[in-house]
Amino acid sequence: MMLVRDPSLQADLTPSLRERLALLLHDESEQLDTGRFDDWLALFTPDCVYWMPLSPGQPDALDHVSLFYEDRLAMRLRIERLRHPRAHSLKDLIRTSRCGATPVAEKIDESTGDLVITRRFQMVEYHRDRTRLFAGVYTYQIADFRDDPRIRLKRVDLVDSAAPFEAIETFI
Amino acid sequence: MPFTDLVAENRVHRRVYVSPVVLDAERERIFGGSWLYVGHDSQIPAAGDYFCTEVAGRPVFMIRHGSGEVHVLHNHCPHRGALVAGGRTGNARMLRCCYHGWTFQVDGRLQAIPCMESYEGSEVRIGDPRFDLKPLQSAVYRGFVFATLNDDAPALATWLNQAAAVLDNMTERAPDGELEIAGGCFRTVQRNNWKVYLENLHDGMHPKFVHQSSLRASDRVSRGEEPDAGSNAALRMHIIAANDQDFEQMNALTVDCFGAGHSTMRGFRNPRSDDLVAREYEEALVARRGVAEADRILSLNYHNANIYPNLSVHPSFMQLRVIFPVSVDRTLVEIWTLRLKGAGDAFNRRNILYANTVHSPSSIIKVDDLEAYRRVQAGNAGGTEWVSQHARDRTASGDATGSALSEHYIRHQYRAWRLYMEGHRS
Repeated sequence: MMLVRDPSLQADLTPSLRERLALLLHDESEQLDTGRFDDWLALFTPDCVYWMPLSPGQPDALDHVSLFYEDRLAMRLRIERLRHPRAHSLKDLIRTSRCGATPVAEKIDESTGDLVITRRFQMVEYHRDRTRLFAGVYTYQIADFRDDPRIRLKRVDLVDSAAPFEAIETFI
Repeated sequence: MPFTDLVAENRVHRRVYVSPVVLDAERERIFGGSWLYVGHDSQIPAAGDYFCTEVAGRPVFMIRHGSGEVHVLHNHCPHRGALVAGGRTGNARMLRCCYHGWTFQVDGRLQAIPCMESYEGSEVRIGDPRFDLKPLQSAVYRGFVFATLNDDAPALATWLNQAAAVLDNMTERAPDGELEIAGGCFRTVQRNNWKVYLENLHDGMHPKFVHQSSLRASDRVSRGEEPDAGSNAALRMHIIAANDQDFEQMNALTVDCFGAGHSTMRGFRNPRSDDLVAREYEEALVARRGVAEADRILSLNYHNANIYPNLSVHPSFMQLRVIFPVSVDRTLVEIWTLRLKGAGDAFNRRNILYANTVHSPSSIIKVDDLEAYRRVQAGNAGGTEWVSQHARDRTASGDATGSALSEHYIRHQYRAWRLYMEGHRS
């Protein structure tokens, strides 16, 4: 259900907390796959970031372009657009299905105290007679993970992040 | 039907967008006849640095010689034809073909062949230019490297025409007077003919229609919360809102056409915002250039410029868009961001934010453009025969000025298209 890398985290991450965190990650994927975007956004903190770097090993999103680098406001913009009746490209709905490997609680992020969890994933996207595959690693930073866990950062490292892409309209 | 019959004064036959025969001829006559943007010399700062790309569908690379000169060479071993420079970028003191070890100097001259005795009595010998990596004619303007396959091409600065002033202005905007490519490259695959893209870049009619979804989304979101002035969130909202200008405002923008298909669009954003980051930048520019020069530089407000057929530059946010036709209905566009040397990090980071907001394949603005291009391409695959470019400013002159509601710049592109396709070379 959830593996724990750092032995010092074992005590903190009780079985019930692990279950709760695993369910959080499950819901995060499930709500995207079922198009419940408001519920999805409610899983994030007010100062959240959704980041998909462009280049492997890219150190930051300030001095280097990213496939996505969105604060909560930009995430809301994307969600509003996905719902808009004249988002022309969405006349045919985009359908997605994600599959995640067992999450691993890696460490505590020193600057924020957040719990860092990684998870390999694959996502199939179907849009207008075409199927695409996205794959890589999700890295989550979970704020207040003991009491009221919410996602402060979702980082998506695609295996082919530097490849040429056609439009990517949904969160991955 | 001869190619030139596909283009009339105010309309083109849909076949220009969908015929593989037309695309082959365009590669040979337009891309093969004009100068093409290759890269920026900041990508290869040190001797031996190279950058691989394509010119008119042919693999080439630019490489920095020990003398500081930039050479553009065909990436094609004269032995059996393999790519000699590997990867996208690299550094080499000499270039050795991975296949049989033919070795070349960085200016392309053949240096050594292993087992030279195999060639005894043949015409293969070191010093014969037929066995060098063949150079392309190349020239550098303000750091922008261009090359051409056309031996009769005019001098680069002549061919650039007024586009040279745009490259001047971009470069002068850097307080240190130099630009550098920095921050990575978006590569976007568009499902449209390469011309469909160029035909959209000064189009002031489309934003209100194409970009409705992002405009309305930003309306709704900003009703709930007004981002702080000068913040990244505010800049993002400002970039989106720029597509909401009414037709009167768009009609007030000037689009100038000149040279072989080139054009500029005057800026519609006030480029001189009055926040702390912008003020610091202007102070840095004034410190280096003086008040009058800085004013002159900053008052030139180009939104973008098309340098026909493979480059569009976007001076206010320092973006380059390089266009590669892949097939009649696939176009690869590489988007690069330039860093202004001598400007602060915060100022340069705005250009990264702009690239993310407008040029990422995930941009909520761009995805609607891509959909419009896709529909143009799909519609032109069949349907009736001719499509219209009649809007406004219909003059016979090759160099015309009109508004951003006019299709004169598209007609100007097709005048160049006809000349190239008829066999005129630049």
